[in-house]
Amino acid sequence: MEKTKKKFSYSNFHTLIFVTASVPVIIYVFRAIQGKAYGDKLSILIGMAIFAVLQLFFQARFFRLEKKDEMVQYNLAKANRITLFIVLTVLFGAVFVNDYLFKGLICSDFCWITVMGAIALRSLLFMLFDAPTAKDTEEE
Amino acid sequence: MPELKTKLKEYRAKHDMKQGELAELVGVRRETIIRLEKGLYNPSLKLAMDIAAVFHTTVEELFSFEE
Repeated sequence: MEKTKKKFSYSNFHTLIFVTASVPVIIYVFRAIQGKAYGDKLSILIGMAIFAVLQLFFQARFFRLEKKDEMVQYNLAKANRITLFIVLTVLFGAVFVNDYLFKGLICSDFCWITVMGAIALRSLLFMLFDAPTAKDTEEE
Repeated sequence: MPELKTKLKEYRAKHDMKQGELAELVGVRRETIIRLEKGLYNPSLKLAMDIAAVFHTTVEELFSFEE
């Protein structure tokens, strides 16, 4: 079974993570802009969970995640470092904004959007660091 | 900052080896070998030694830093 599985690159994996993490945020933003009651948070979370389970199932069945070599770890560490700085900046900034400008900013929505945004940002950064150029895809 | 220079491409050509084959031999992805050859990634000591062993040469012969 292992030999018939296609190789699933870390870039592909993080593309999926990025999409999974950013779609709920986008839906929430559109909902806020349009003012329509497009489901509630629970339905968004359930939808995400179903998507994640399906993705893991199909990934395990038809794909084999490629080896996590040292360059993957290096690029992931770079992405983690940048994401951590940005999240800390956002959180500290939010404290000031909440206290002096816009009371009520820090709420449950802010927390989950920050978490999902951090997950999406980490995957996006990894994709940027790890992406090969068009020339690199040619076998030498 | 010193820049990494490698003779990986030269040695691969001498041994008639593709990037993917070398990557498989040392247990990394082809993308890692590509970045190494371009000097965009500094390998760990283990990886450098593994690659040197494949080509039956030394780490110092394959990799060098230039100002």
